Amino acid sequence: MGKTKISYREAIRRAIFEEMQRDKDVFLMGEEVGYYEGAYKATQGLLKEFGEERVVDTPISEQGFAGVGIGAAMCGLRPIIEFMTWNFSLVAFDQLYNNAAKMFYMSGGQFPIPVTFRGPGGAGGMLAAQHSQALESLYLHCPGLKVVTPSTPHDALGLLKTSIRDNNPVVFIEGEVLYNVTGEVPEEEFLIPLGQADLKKEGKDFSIICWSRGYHFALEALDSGILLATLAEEGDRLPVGAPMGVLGEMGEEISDILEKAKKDLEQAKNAPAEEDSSGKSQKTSEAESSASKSASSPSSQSSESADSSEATESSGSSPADSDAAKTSAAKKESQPRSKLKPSADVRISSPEKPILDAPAQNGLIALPAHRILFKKSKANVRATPLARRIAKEKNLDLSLMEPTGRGGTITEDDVNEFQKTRPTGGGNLQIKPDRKVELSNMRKVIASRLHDAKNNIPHFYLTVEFNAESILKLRKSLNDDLAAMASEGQEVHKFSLNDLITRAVALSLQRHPVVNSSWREDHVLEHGNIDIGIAVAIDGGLITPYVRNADQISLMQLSRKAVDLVSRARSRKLKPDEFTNGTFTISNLGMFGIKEFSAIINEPEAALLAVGGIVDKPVVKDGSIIIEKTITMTLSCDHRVVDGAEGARFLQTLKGFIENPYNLIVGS
Amino acid sequence: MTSRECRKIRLPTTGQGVLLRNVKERSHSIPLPEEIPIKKVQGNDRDLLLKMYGEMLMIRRFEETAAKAYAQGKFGGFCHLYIGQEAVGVGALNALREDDYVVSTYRDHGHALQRGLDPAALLAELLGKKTGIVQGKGGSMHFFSKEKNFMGGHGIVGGHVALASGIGWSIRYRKKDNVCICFFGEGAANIGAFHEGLNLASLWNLPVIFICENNHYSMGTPEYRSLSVADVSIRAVAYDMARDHFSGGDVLDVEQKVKKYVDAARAGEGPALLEISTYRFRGHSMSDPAKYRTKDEVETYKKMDPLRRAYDTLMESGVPEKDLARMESEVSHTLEQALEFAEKSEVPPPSDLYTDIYAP
Repeated sequence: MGKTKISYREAIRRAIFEEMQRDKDVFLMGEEVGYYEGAYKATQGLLKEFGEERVVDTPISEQGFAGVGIGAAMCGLRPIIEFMTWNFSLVAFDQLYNNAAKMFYMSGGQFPIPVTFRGPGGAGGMLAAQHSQALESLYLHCPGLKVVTPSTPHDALGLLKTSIRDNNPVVFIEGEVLYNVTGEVPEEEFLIPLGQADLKKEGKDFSIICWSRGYHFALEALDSGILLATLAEEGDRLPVGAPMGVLGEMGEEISDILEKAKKDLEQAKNAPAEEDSSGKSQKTSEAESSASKSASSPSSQSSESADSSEATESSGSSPADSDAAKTSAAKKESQPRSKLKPSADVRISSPEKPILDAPAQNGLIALPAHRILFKKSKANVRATPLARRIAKEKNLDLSLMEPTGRGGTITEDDVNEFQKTRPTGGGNLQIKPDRKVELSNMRKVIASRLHDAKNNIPHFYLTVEFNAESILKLRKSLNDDLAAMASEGQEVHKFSLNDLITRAVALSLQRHPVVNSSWREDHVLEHGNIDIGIAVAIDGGLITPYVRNADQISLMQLSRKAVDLVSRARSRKLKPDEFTNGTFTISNLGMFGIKEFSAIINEPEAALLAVGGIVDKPVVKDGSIIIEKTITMTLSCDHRVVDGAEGARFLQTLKGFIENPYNLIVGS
Repeated sequence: MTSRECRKIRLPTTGQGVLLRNVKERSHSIPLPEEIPIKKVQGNDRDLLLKMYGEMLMIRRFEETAAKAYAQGKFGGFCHLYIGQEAVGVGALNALREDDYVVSTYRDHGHALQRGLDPAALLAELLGKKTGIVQGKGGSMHFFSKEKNFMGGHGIVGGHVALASGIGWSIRYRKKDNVCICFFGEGAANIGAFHEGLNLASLWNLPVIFICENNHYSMGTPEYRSLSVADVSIRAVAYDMARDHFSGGDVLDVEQKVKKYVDAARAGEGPALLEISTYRFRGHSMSDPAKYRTKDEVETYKKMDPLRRAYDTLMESGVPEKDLARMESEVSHTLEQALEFAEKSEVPPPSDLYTDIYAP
């Protein structure tokens, strides 16, 4: 089947031509469709081909000729009624809404109305409020009408032909600015059925649903690369037009763009609140430190940055403190951003709420709606010929320049301005070379231990969901009591959920010694002690300090011990015997929003418990649905030591403690 | 069939302008009917009048049956009665052929009956039954019959005038010699679709007869508070269209006058706008006590009841009273059976709400 490249306009014309040739009952009527050949030249040549009887110029009389089309359709003709633009359809609204849409229903199925109302719609260029409207949503709300909004020449051709053949009134809205868009269509006749979405590009994280011109925006976004940096976080409020992220190729050097974008963002943020910033600038040092912080941690939103500058002010008398703030901020930057995983499939944010409000879990990025700073592909850059030539001579990248010309065109001035602001080198992005990172000792140990464990231990996993209501209640009441009992000025201790879980695990291990064992090649060693390790993420790796005899010490002792171990783990002040020779390990990623996960067993232990976060879930209780807090845990077992049933029994016992947590205090 | 090449009529160019308006001389009451003496009729006219009397009688009794059923709570919604206006519909539609087209308003009972729609199906429609003319989906205002080319009762005042031009368009497009009659009230003459429909019909020379049934009140507003002209047909002048204005009190007279324009349109001479003066004896709808009219006015018009006038004319022309009485009893019998049929019919199942929204 041959293909040919035609414009959207030609697609419309061809559809009308083919259908008028095929069916004598089809005629075209509207303002300027005949002698003028269409206000948008979509009906060029049709009058010559079909004559005045079938290509009919009308007066400016939308209500009149829309009604004529409907009346003719009642008599079995198939009119194509053109609105010069859909904006003018509003004076014929009664005809479309009350007559075309409802006639078939009102007449008990006697009078179908096979009219196609067509014409350009959507935003145009500089046309102001009355001539730049997307009315499809309006018509979509009327039962009886079908609404079609093609985005490509292919769709326009196939859908218009189907619309003309449809026995219902079709509102066919052509993209006013799409008439010159070109695309391939089959040379042979073809139809596209109405009411079916066309999957233009596959992805996996979420769907962008668009129509008409929006398709081209979405496509441009898809081609723009991956999210390299974000300048705003979910929930931020930004002025319209403020940049919120940088898109590009994987590994691309973006410091130039980033700097510019940050500058833009600062400007945009400050612009509406001039007074605020001038007020703050009186305290220069504070303002500076807060600026450096917000620059290195772009996530801070305007209200937060105000907060953080206050915080700096309170401790601002000490320059050491503010230095520390800078250092910690710098460190933060070097850490991977676990919250914002750039994914090759997530590349666009839109003003539509559903996408924005999607939770930031499951690797899905939810960004505020205002703007993604696109790294435009060269093909999309509009520039004057002179600007293009200078840029080519000097090897400058047009896509990095800020256009000031009409309609976003880059002018000669823009090129010069760009050169001034970037005195050295060309404008081309540099490819950042790969970096060799030497292995730290810790990394070596982690790599070898986990590799061995995963290879040697026949892992299997058991996952259980617990009701967490009671344990959370218990924790709250314990902490409330502690707070109430504390004398003034005394530091109040707080139990963490992890403390309670550790205690519950310890007491469960008491009853299931098999789980508290080690594989020793020729025998299994059941440990007398219950020493529970708590996996702690630290810079450059992770470490597992042990709470010794966790089943025998009190909850308070356990909790204080855990706090001590974790804090010393983070400051790397653990002694070697504090992170070796344990009997069981707990790894908790709940605070990162992880619902559930499976972990590798910490050799030579026989099992490990992976704890997820608290999740609200609908539960059926006494016949009605209620929301309950739940927590999911996965036990990784060494099958050489622990069988499935034994592991399951252990989890049953654990469930008892988690869901009836008062036994944790009473002891057992 | 295309646009006329050149408009021949031009107003004289005086360079002076003409001041015609004299607001003081405008009427502030509705015109009362002239009393026309009853004349004997004979031959074909007598036969036709006898036939039309039967048709008017059917409409009158149908409407009375509907009013009674409505008052008894057998159905709700709107119900606009045609009582008093029968001579217009019956006279005008007798000028048509069976394969011609009719477009009507929300006051469509009389026109539908006259076009031969089954009174039982119409009563069933009023009662919202599945056996109704549009399966209970339209009710009083939306009678349709594809079979009889009855192109609908339409609920939006004036919105259907443009449809009539479309029907005229399709007649021309297919090179047929049919005619379309479009009814509306004087209230519709002030809405845009009326003017656009007339302009296009004249521009394209379409075979449509626009009949304004002027009953002098658009709902509660008398014509002198809504129309800028004393006679709606004057507006035809603006569209270079044939026009006429006459009383709708005498059914035979209506038939003869309308037929002249129908025949001209059928011969390709284009549309016409006719204003036929008439009067509704009841309120605008069943919920309207019509307190905006004086008792005298109503009584004066009732004395000119077209049904009564036809009866008297027939009596005068020697039709035996027992023939007319037999007609009366036949109509009553038909309507009794029709109402029984309507009442016994099933209401549509709720699933019908979702059928006929889109055509297959």
